[in-house]
Order: sequence, then C-alpha cells, then structure tokens
Amino acid sequence: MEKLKYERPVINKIKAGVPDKFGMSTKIKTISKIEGIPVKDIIKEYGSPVFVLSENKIRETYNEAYRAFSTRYPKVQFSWSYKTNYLDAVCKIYHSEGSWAEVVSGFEYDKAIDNGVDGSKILFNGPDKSDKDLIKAIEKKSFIHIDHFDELYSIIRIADNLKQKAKVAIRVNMDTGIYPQWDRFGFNYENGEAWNALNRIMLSNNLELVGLHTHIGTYILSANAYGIAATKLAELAVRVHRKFNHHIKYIDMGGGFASNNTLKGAYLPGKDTCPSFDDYAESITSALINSEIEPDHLPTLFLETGRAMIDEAGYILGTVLANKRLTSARRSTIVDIGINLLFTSFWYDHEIYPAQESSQQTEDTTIYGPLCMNIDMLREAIQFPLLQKGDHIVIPRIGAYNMTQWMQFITLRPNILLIDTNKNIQIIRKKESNDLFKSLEIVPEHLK
Amino acid sequence: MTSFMNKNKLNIILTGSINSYSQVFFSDNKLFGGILLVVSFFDIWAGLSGLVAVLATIITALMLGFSEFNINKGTYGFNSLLVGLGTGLSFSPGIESLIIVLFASIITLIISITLEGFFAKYYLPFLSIPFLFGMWMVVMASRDLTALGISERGIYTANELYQFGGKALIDIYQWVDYTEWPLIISTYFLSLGAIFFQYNILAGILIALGILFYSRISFLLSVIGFVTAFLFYDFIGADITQYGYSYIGFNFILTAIALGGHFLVPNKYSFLWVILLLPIVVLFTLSLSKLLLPYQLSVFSLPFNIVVLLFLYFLKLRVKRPNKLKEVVTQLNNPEKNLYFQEQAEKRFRWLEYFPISLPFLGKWIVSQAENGEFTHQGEWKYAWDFVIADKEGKQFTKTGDYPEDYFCYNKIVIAPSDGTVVDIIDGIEDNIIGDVNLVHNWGNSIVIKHAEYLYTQLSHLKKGSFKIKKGDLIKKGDALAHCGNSGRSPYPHLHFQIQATPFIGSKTIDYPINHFIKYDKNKHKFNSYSKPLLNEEVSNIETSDLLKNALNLIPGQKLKYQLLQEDKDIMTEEWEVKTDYYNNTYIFCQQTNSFAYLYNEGNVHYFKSFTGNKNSALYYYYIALYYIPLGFYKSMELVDKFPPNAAIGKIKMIFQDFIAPFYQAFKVNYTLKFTEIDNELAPEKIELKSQMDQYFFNKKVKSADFNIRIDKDGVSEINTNNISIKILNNVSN
Repeated sequence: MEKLKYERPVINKIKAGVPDKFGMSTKIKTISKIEGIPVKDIIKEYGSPVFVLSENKIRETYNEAYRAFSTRYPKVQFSWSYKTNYLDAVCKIYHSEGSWAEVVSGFEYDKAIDNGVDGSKILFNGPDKSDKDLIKAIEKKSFIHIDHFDELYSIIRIADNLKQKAKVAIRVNMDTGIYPQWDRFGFNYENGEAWNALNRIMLSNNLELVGLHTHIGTYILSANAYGIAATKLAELAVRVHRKFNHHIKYIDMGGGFASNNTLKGAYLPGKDTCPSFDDYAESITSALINSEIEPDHLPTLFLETGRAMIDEAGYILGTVLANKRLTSARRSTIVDIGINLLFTSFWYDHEIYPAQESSQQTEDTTIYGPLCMNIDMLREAIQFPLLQKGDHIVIPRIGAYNMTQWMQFITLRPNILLIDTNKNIQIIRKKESNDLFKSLEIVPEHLK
Repeated sequence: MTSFMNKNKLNIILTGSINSYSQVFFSDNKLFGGILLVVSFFDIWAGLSGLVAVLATIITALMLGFSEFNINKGTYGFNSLLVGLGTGLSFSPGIESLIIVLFASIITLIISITLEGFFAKYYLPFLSIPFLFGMWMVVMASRDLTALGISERGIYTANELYQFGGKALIDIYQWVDYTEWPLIISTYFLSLGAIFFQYNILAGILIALGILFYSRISFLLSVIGFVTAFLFYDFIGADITQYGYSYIGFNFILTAIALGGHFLVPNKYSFLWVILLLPIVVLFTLSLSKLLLPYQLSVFSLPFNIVVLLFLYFLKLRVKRPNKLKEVVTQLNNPEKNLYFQEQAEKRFRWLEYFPISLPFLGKWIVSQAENGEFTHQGEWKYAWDFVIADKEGKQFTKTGDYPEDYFCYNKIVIAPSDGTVVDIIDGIEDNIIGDVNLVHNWGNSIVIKHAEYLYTQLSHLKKGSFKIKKGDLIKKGDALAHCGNSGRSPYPHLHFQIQATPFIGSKTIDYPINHFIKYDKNKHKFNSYSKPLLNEEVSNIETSDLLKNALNLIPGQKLKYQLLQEDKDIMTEEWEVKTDYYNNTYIFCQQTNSFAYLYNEGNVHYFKSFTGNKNSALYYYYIALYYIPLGFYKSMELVDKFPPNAAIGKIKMIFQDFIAPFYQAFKVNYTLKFTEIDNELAPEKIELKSQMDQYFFNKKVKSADFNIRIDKDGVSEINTNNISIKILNNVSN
C-alpha cells in the first residue's frame, strides 16, 4: 500500500447542508493524465514546465467548427490564424484538415509558404505590410485584406508597376452593438469610408475586388453581433453588385469566437457563458442567407477562428516550487509557470488543477510564477488544494496565443510536445538552450 | 441595300432550284442535284421544261413571300419540276407547250402550299401529291390540247442524246444499252431513270451513282426496296417489266428510301418494315393501275404517296414512346446524318426532350428517400425525392435531435429548380414534434411551380411563414422560395421534391430526370446529366465558375480570331463569327475554311452538337477539344461522352461505316474531359482542362489524341495537341 500523502493542517469553516449561492463546496478536479499519458511521466521525461498539445483535440475541434458552419451554409472555408499558434506542426494539422492560412506579417507569410500552403490560399491581413511583402503577395496571387488608404495606394502603385492584378479585400469595422467597437483596423462602415474604399478599388485597373472582411473584436460573447456584422457586409456586397455588376467572391467574418476560459472579472465561468460554434454559425449564416445576395452567387464564407479552435487543445504542465504564508495570512504557492510563458493570464483567470489526487480540503491561495518580478502572478485568489513542493500542476486551455506571445524573460522557453493521434509524444519545439541564445548575440571586439 | 437584297434573293433562287432536283430523293446535296439536272437534260426539251417549271415556281413563291427557308431547301420546287419534266416530254417543243408548263407549275405550287397547310396539322409531309394532281390535270387535258401536238420523243432516245452530248454520249449510251444486263439490274436502273422520265439505263446509272454519293444508306435502301418488290412480283407471278414503261418501279425505291431512312431513323427495324411494306406497295400499284385505267391515267407515284403517308400517320398515333421504330425529329435530309444525330440526341441532347429541372437547394444534400422509396414514395407518388443535410459522419442533427432546430437541414433555404410561375402555396401548418406526423395536412406547407405545359414541381414540408414568394409570382431558377421545415407527414425535417404533370398539391408524380448535378463520393466528384439521384447519395447543383462560363458564353454576333500553328509555325489565321440559323441553333462559322460548329449552352453546361467543314481548321480542334464542358470547376472530375463517328473518321472509312451504320457502329469515338488545374479557387485567372479523343474500331483502340486547354480572361486562349496548337488573337479591349 502506498504511503498516504502528507497534507499540511488547515482550518476551514464547515460548509454542510443546503448549498449556498456558490453551490456545494468546491470539489477539486484532478488532471493526472493528458490523452491517457500520466503527467508525471511527461514531466520526468521532458522537464518542467512543458507545453503539451493534443492532435486529437485540435482535429476534433476543427471538425466541430467546420460541421457547425458547413451544415448551415453551402460554401465554407476556414483559414488558420497564424498568430494564434504558428508552430509548424500545428499549422500543418490545420492545413491537412483543409484550412487555408491567415497571416498578418511578412514573417507569417513566409512561414505559410514554407508550410506548403499555395500562395492562392493565403489571406494577408494586418496593418503592417511592406512593399516587399505586397509584391510577394501579388505575385503569388494571395488575397490582400487592405487595412487603410495608405495601403490601398501602395497596392495600386505596386500592381501598376508589376502589371499584375492584385486580388484584394477590404477590412471593414462597424458598430455591431458591442463594446468596445474596434475601429482601429480597416475602413468604417457607418461613416462611408468602406464604401469609398470599395469604389476606389473597383475603379482602379489592376485591383480585383474579391472579398469583404471584418473582425469585430476578440472573445465576443454575443453571437448576435456576428449576425449584424454579416448583414452589413452582405449589404456592401449587394451595393457593389448593383453599382458595378461585380460579384463578391467571399465574405470573411474573421475570428474572435470565445473559448471556454473565464475572463478576469467575469461573474460566471466561461464554460457556462460562451456561445457554441453552432450559435455563431446560426447567426452568421442566417444573416447571409437572408440577405439580398442572389442565391446562385452566394459568396464563400471564410472564418479565421484561432482562439476557439486551439485553446482547448493546449496544456501547460508545471511543478510547485514552494508554499509561503503572506503577511495577510493568505497562503501562497509558487509554481514554475510564469507569466513569461502564460501571457494569457493577464486577461484570463486560468483554471489550475493538481496533477495528483489530494484530499478535498482547499485553502484560498494566491499562485505566483517563478519570476523575480512582482507582476508574476497567475491567480490572485483560488480555492486550491494543499500541494507540496515537487507536486505537479496542470493548466488546461492555453493553446491560443501563449506559444506565440511568450517572452524569453529570466528563463529560457521550455519544450513543446504534441501527443499525436497514435498517442505518441512528439517534441514539436525544442527547449531553448544557452548556446542558441548566445549564437544570436554579438559582443563588440573591444568588450571581448 | 437593294443590291444586297437582290444578291440574297438570287442566291435563294439558285440553291432553291438545284435543291428542287435533289429533293426528289429527299436530299439537299447540291452535287447530287447537279447530276439530276444533267440527267434531266438527256431530253433537252423536257429538261428545259423542268427548269422553267422550277424557276417559275421558286420566283412566284419568293415574290409572294413564302418561307425562304423552304424555298431554299427545294421543298416547293420539286413537284413542279416533275410536272415540268412530264409535260415537256408529252408535248412537242413550242411556245404553247412552255405556257402550259408555266401554268401547270403554278397550280402545282398552289397545291403544294395548300397541302402543306393541311398536312402540317398532322406533322406529315405532302410528298409528291401536288405532282400527281398537276400531272394528271395536264395528261387528261392533253387530249383536247390539239395545238400542242403529242410528242413522240422518248422513243428515239439516241436522237435526243446526240443533240445533247454529241457522238461521245451516244457511244456511252450504246455501250450501256447494248450490254447484256441481268433483268433485275436493268429494271432497277430503268426504274431510277423513270423518276426523271428517262427510260434508259445510262440515266439510271447516273442517278444511282448520285444516290450512292449523297447517302450510302439511301443507296442500300433503294436496292433492298427494289429487290424485295422484284422478288414479290416473281412470287405472285406478275411481270414487273410489263409495267415498266408506265414508270412504276421507282415507287418501290422511293418508298424504301422514305421509310427506311428519311422519315424514320435507319436501323434494322426500319429496314425490316421496308421489306414488310413493299409487297403492299406492289399490291397498291397493281390495283390502282386497274382503277385508273378507264381514265387512261398512269399511277405515277400514287402507291408511294399512299403507303408512306398512311404508314407515317399510323406511327404518329402510337401512345408509348417509340424506342425501336423511331421517327426523325430534326430532319437533316440525309439518312446517315439523321441516324448519327439521333444517336447523339438520345444520349446527349436530352434538352430536346426534357425541360431542364435542377436541384431545389444550395450546397450538398443527401437523398434520404429516393424514387420507389420504402416509406412514402410509392404507387402514384413513387417518382419523388426526400433530401436532408448530414455531416461527415452521416448524422443529420446535433445535440439530441429532439427539436427541429437540431437538424442541419431545418430552416435552410429552398430555391426554384427552374424558371416558372407559382401556381399554389399552402402555408400556416405548424412544424411537428420530432417523431410525429401530421396526417391531416399530409403535404404540410408546400409550393407548386409551373414550368411548362404539363410540367410542375412540388416542394413540401416547408417551414410555416417562411415563404418569400406568393401565388402568381414569376420566378427564375435559383430564386429563394422558402425554408425547409418539418410540417405535414414529416417525422423529422426534410425536403420533399417531386415533378408532376398537374398543378395540384399532391398530384401524381411523373418519371422525370434532374438535368445536371454533381455527385460526391469520398471527395470525388462525379458529373451527372439527365439522371436521378439515388438513395444515400450526396448531391449538389453545379456551381458555375465565372471564368469558364465567360469563355464559352458564345453570343450570336460575337467575333473570334484564332491562329493555327503547327510546330510553332503559323499556318493560318481564322476569323469566326457566332451565328444562329432558322431553327435558332447557334453555331460558329469560320470564314476561311467554310466550316460550321453547332453548339448549345444550357447555362451550366456547354455542348458542341456537330461539325461540318474542314478538319484541318482551328475550328475543328476547338470543336473536338471543347465537345462537352460543365461550366463549374471541380478538380480532377472526369466525364466521358461519345462523338458521332463522322466527327473524326476519314471519308473512305466512313463509306464503309455508313453502309453498316443502321445495324452496327464499327467505329466508335469517345471523348474524355478532365479538370486539371485552377490557379486560384476563389478568383481564378487561369483554368486548365484536358480532353481526349479515342477512336475505336471494333472495340479496339486505334487512335488517340490529347488536348490541353487553357482558359483565361480572354476566353479559351489556347488548345494544344501533339504538334498543333491554336491560340486566340483577340485583342484585349480595355
């Protein structure tokens, strides 16, 4: 018989009888295995902290999202938002499922090409596209989503010089009844800027207007807002057709679908409040189908969902470094996962679970990261079991943005693993080493 | 302007005249007409009378404003020609005789037009009945026409031939005439000559060669018809030569050609009927001669007219669609052409028979109950389909499937399957709870659309209050009608679609195909034409690609310019114009090579129908390569089709093929099309297709050619095969 685990003594108010407004007393879930592989084995082999992605979950989520839209609308195309997670292995999983690539910089564009994506299956977004990037995109027949007039003029100039047709769309921002209204990207719908841009495109010789794009915000909890956005884009498409007899080939609704994480300050957990893919799909496709666009010229519906696609498939595994009592008598636990790796902890209250069974006793705890920086705090207050140094923890639902927005700060970046469909562990990004770090630096002669 | 009109009219008079000669044998072949013209001049006076009759008829008809098309085809001229020939032969040359010919031809024209109007109601031709009336009138009157003098020509043929062709012709004539021909052959030639009132073997041989030239099948029929009659005479103990002088042998030949290959599609059944009917023609000939004897009138072509008209009318009254003994629908004036066209029409030109009906939805749906379905598609309602939407795993709903909203197809838009008028709508019936059916309002919310006479479609189980149209609205194909629902006898949401002949909700269904659709099988696309979706098949309409549609949208008046290159050397530049003919057929005409390529565009599919002209022209390669193109790009999709054998087989081989054509097709030419490349799926600038022509001789592949087709914003910009390529030369207009 295994020796019982020591837990430090704790004084808790007894909560028995009828549940209060928070329900029954907290039961702590344990995540001891990921895709059937024990957390402690993974950490033993690949170190702590370590990122783990599940290929099964990625494919499952993609298919769930694709099904939600494709069963509602005849022409649907997903485009993988590179910035959400541009690890080559991850991108290739999406491409193998049929996703195109959505990129927002020359760096991401080259990455997509390297991943074997045909230039004609890349949507090029974002406010920063250099002349060099634009030339490449025009020549490879990618779809350029124009963000501002200065970019529009650049494209007109470059396309004229190249004597090639640039395939373009414009990004439109609009009031969809949500706050905040993102107006820093694209052309505004209400004040006529978008219509102005469309006219300029239609009247220029070397630009082919192919699509309309919007991205109304991020982590949008109202599916209805997407319906409003789709209606407005459809109106623009109809206006373009009426004036120029030109059919818009696609409408790109961008992304921004919420994942099941809980935003800081939210009263109810994300799991209970986030709309499902079906909710978003119903709202968007109903708006398009009921618009005045002729049924035999329905545009292809593009979605650039990133967060909601991959968040669920990512985990970070870590280890408890120490326990500490603060002066306020609050308990704190220090773990080896810092905000340098978990950038999203700035806006989410991430769920943190122990990786081994514990008693049901919990204590109000603050969880800090390992950095020697005051801001390195993962959770300010969480009912957490009584873990000891060396115990493992699992933070689920961190697949989006963390592996692209992470910082090399104080420590080096750890391994990223992929559990493939055959339950084999593959390293898809090696942990960084001092040598690699040094190789980029140049010490001037006089300091050597 | 006036000079143009005159030139045009002169042209009609010339072609109309020459066609009047060949039309006697149901042909519009000008060379054959020319041979017959020459033969008619074996008796110069008769030939002249014939020509005068034809010209008088055609000019009168043209001035009075009768159909230029019919005049051009010789339809009005040939009866007068025969009357003219007969009259010219009966009377001594002279101005009086010519005047009689003139009047006789005009009355023949009047009779022709009148009979045309009368017979047209029965879809029957007037054949040579006008000639019979005209000729009998002249013959009966001739006994009183003392000023004219009965001619004795026709007896001293050599004298007349000498006048026409000199010593050389006499030598040929004598060699032919003094040769010992077997009785059956000499009678055959004499009978042929007799059609043009020429009772000599040389005329018969020339006509026979002319027939052989214009149609092998007609020649074969003329022989079969004659031999059958000849043997029957022998069998019943009558003497065919005894009646020879009264020019009746041609009745058998004309009947055989008319029924065996002209008005009916030549095949073994038409040949069999020729053999069955000819003894009847013989009996008619014998009996009618007796009937007319008191009036001293010859039967001329009366037996032929009676039997052909009777039999054609008899066939018209059939109730079931004929599939063995088939009437020619589009008359091409040549049995081979009729046969090859008919074979094509049955397989390829289904729009001739069916009004195009497409699928009534957007995107891919699955057939959950097909025709003769196990649940409700039975009895009088067996020709119907139920459609649903399913995901990759074949599931039709999400969540628990306890509510209509859980079903993927629920609330999806339903579109008009074709142009039409809304004749009935039922609305206001609530959706059922899943698993329940509403047997009171069996069809639920429904719509019936009228597309043509006796052609309606019905869509049922729609969502209450979702109708976007109202009763009486004119709708176009693809218009949004309503949303899919779960009303009526519908345990779970689905779309019921049926085609019917009457405008009522719940009418009995009819057996009718869907025009073009794509079938999906594990990401493979299969193109289907005029067939039916089957149970559990995933299907969608063709989504057209603007680039393809634009490239093959050939509008009358449009001009194209192509360059033909061989091993990169410029061979020829061709200028084409898209035109339409009297039947509203669109065709491309190439000026340089005098070639024609007939085409048809159904909106989502392009076909070439036929080609005539120079087979070394760019237009020919264009025709072969783009024979059959669905106008939507589906990568790797392949389709096959068949060319008519004369599209690719050489002339000599075709003579052999023509002879056996009614019974067997020795040469087969197949077409394969593959969609190879598209440079950009959403906004393509370049599409590449690959087509292939394979020739088979008795099922063995003997020849094959590949065509790489490039389509861009200029249209079909390039076609490459072996060392030949054609390139578009149109300047891009900005």
